[in-house]
Amino acid sequence: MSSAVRINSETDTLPASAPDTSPVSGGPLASAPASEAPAHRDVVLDVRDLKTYFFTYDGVVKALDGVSFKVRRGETLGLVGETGCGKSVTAFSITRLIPDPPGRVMSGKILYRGANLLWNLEREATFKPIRNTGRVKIRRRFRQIRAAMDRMSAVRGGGVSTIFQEPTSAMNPIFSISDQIGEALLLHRGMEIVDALLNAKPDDPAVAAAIDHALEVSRHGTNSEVRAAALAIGTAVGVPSLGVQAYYILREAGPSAPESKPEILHALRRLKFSGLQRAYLRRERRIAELRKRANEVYLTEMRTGSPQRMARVNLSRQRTTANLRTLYLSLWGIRRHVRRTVQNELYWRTVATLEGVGIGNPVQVARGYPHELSGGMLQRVMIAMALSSEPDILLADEPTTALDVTIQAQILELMRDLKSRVGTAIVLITHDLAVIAEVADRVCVMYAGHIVETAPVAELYHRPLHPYTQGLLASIPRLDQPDKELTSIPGSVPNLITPPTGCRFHPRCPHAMPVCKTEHPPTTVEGSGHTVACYLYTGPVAVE
Amino acid sequence: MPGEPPVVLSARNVRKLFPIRGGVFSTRIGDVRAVDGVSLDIHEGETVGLVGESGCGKTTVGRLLLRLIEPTSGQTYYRPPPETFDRLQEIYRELGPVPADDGAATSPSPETVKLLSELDRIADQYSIYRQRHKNLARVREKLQIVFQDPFSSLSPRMLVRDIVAEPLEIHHVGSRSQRYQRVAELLQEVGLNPEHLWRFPHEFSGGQRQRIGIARALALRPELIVLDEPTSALDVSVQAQILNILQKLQREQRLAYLFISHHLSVVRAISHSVVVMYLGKVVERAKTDELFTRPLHPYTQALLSAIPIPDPALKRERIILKGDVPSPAAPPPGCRFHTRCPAVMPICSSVEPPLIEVRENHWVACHLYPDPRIAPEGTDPLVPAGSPLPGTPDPLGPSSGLSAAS
Amino acid sequence: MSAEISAETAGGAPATPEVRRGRRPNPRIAQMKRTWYFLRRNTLAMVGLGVIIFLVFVAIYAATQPYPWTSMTPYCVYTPGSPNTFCEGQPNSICVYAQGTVAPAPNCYVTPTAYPSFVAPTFSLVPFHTGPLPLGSFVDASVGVSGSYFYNLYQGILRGSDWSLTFSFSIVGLGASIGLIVGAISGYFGGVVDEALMRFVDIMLSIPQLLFVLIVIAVVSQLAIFGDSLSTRITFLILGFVVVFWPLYARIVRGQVLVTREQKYVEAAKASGANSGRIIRKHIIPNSVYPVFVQMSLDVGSIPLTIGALIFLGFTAIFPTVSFPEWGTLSALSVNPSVLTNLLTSYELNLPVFVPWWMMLFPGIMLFMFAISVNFISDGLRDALDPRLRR
Repeated sequence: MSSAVRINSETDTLPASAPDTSPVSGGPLASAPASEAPAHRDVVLDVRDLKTYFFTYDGVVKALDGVSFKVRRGETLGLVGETGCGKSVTAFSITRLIPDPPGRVMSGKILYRGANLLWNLEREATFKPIRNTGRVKIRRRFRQIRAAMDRMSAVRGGGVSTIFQEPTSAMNPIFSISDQIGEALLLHRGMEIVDALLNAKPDDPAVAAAIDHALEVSRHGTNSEVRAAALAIGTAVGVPSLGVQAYYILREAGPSAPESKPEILHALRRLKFSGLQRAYLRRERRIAELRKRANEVYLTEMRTGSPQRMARVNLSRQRTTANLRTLYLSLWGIRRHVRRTVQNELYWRTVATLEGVGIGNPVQVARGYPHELSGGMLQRVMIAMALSSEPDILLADEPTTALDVTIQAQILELMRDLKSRVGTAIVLITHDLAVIAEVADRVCVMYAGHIVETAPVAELYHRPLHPYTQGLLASIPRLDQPDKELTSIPGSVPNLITPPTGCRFHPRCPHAMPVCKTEHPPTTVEGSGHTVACYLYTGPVAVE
Repeated sequence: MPGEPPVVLSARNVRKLFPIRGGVFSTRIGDVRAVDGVSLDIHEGETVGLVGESGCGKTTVGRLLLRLIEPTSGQTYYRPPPETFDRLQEIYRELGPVPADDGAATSPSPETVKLLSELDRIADQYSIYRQRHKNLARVREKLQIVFQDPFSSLSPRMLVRDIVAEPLEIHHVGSRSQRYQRVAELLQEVGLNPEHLWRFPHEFSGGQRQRIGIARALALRPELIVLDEPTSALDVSVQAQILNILQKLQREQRLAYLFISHHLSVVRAISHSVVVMYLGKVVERAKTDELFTRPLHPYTQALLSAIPIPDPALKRERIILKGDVPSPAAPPPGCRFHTRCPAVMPICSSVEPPLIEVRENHWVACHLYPDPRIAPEGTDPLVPAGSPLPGTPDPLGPSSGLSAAS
Repeated sequence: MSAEISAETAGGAPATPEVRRGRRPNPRIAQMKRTWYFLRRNTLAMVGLGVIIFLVFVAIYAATQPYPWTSMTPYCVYTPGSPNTFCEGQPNSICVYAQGTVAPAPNCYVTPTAYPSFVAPTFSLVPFHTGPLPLGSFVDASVGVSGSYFYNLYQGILRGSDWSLTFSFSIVGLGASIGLIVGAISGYFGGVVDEALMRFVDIMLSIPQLLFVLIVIAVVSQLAIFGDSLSTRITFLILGFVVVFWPLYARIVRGQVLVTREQKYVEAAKASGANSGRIIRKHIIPNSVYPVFVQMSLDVGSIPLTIGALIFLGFTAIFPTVSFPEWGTLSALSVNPSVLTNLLTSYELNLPVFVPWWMMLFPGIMLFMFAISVNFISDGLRDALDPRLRR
């Protein structure tokens, strides 16, 4: 494939209303149950009073100073704010990807499925301010930090998945797309995949029947009929990705379908594994199982607050044993032979996932490399990768900022579509209020490390309460209001090493009152689901 | 045109091809047609907005107008006197649209030869591409540029004072202390504290750095500033501040701007006229209000509908273009937009549409408007969902000639 | 990705120090203070700095010391099989020959020549322990430490500090400067200039360094137009090395310049009308020196070794005498090829073989300390100056 030619999704991008025919059942892109009213959904992520500081030469940057919000199942929460307000820091604090010097999550609680992700935080480091300077001496306990990072591996990817801002640099350029998505698939759904492979029944008579039926249909059926028939092959064998492969074989063959029977049979024969391959699959299954158990152990630790050292040690020992016992499988020729099984499977699952995000030629794209794709396509690939592990929450860090307007429209369309189909909760971080208006259900507005206003999206745009939100909305040039004057908020974002006392917005606020300088205003409820942190409003204080 | 302020820069048929080298001896195997015949005029004191997506060549146009890159062909005239400018317009109208390949396929007629030699004479006098580099110093003072990325457009190892004073130093303006005095004045004009002279760029936020860049551009009292996406890397409220400063400076100093951006809403707020580019060609050109209320080219319509509006209650019919922008190294034949156009017709893939004045001062390059007749009324991108855009051919109708989905 | 949540974006507007009334804060001094703060926190860099300062003091001290001519007791070394005209009648004494010189008096002094005292080419020839020698081990063994001469190891190391530091820093400094200019010109202008210069650099780099230095020095010193004194020989030595070392810097700098010249501030300078010279001087070079420092720190340690290699190969004309007090030379001289031949003889004759390991070890240790300290310091400086590590 010439690397000078960009792969374009010129053929088609699947329209939003395409019936979902993703073969991977229970997969991330299968239809989700109908969403209920927001207020009654349960809370997936509960962030309470999160504080993150950065310790620099110039002083302590109080990037987040008590941030609290909840994310409910299936809703899209928008986190809006300007540069320096701390929205990216929030996302990275949740998954604990803050670079440790200079940053540290100081305190707070992040509850995910009842487990506090910040358990044992106090024991990870001690702080001692240095006299006469603004700096702080930090002594880190690396054992606790390492243990904490291990615990986070139970949550990252499978529970909370992230999409980054620059798709062109967030992917590894030396691995193909199918390798990268395959890695994510294997890591988080390894057991399911390997089970399917081990229990494959290629010799089942139903399979041969299904193949013949599919060939029959492909002669004169519509695309979706052929697809359904091909997927039926997969179901008959017990390996859904074979169905996908069969579909693409038939599609490529076009009218000369019956001649592709040997190809399908060849693919089928690949499922008859040799002894070595079975041994490899069993090892992979064992490792996946151990990983799952380890994740459970970590979650238990975080939930109950008691370290499960014995369990962890046992599991790591078992993992080492499993690896050592099958070390012979890593010998050069054998390794290639056994890995082929899983690679093939992962490749076709990748193709299925790429279909789900609306890429028109997934077979080519999966085989290709990141530098061959344009920004919009790469962002789709990243979304596919993030969703392939079926996370509960998707953190999208400025996903469309680096893209052109028309491509951004495509991606937002895709996200809306996925929202209705898949039902993952999304935390969308951006500085573009217009993007939020398109996609989000609820919005949190952040300023200088605090959340100043939270509201359902329509409410926020029609009845912005906090002066900062009002100022922001007034300064956006709008296409439908061309004569609107662009008012800007006077002043600039404060220096977070020495933030203003009390409400951090008071130096720029047109309604500042003496009380604003004293203490940070409490968050009060001003309407259904609408909370503000401002002394102008005197509703009841919001309860956690 | 009488009543309009004088022209500062007039670009005609500017073309820039970047050779693609391949093979053993790096022979030229093709060209990237980054800018393929772009014409625009910028008058004193007005802002021309140049919009398009990445890869459309708008950044290259900005640099070509300042001769930071050498063009492959075409001319850019600096301050031609009004009579000369009118004559230029006549000549170009007579010559008609330039063919796609610059090679002289057919021998020109005698009238064409006469016109071309007259053009040559005018170009020798006023075109900035004909001057030697050393003589360009005077012109360079008057044409400045502000870059997109405030983080890399200021040399990290120089003090702000030196950065802003550099243009003055290069042109030997005044003595050292006079220069620094002027730097302090400039910083105040853009809203920065003169104390900031003594710092390094990395100590400032993005908005402040962009202001330093603007101060630097203002140092030599230019007549035209090319603003290459000046607010794309900035936040919304900072963007508003920068735009306000730019407008204030324009009023006070009668500056002309070429505002290059892909943010149509920002362009609408600040521009007097707008030029839309796609893959190196101008597809539509009109006054701002006209373009935004009556966009004629399908690409413009798609662009306008793609922009998200910060109002969740406003639902619109969105024209989502399929596919990605083709590579400028291998542009589609005929109309370059035809691969993504919702209103594509068979002629679009073979013949390139010329840029024609369809309404008064509203130019479009599209086969939907083959004759310079008045386009129908009522094309509004913000028409509520459900109603088709009146006057344009129905994209899903039988006559549209959409190729069957493969 | 972690660069995006650096403290800067986390901190909003970066901290700008308050302006004191009446006095302009000098930002360059503030930057230096900050660099020093980070350097201080880097233990290895501090150790390295300490070592280098110590070596400088050693050099200064050595220069102040008068050369110990008369305090040495001469010895005669008897090498079996060689004529020992000066040791006749003194069967228990060790008489020393300095290669090329003839001991003029029966006491086996070696007269100093007309060189300035701190150079004192022949140190007096006492092995490391200055007491009476265990004659048994020397007399009937082929001691052959560095030919047929001893030298005073202590004096050698002391004075070697001066010479090694001088050579290293001057050669690397000059070579880097020349390479910087050539690389900047080549990278900035591109086209034919770039091709021509880079091919020239390639040719120079394809010749093995050692051989090249040898040839250059040998050829130049043949010209004999500058006379033959210590300073000319040293100059040829330094220039010879510089000629060989600069191409690598040119190539490194060119690579960095290719990146720097695409930066927006260079374009802005062009738009303001700056000519190429100004751009190269003010914009390109200050922003492209970074990789030079890396290479410099690596090269500094290798210079004395290269000199030693030249001496070992027998190219002794670069120094006025062979036993020049320079660490590389000392290490090279401590290995005598003729030990091998003498070894065979000694084995045949059943004589004990004595190879004084300390002669090689101590100059080697000094060299090692020097090279690694320079490396530590440069690592520390790089970390402290790196704008991306916002700490």
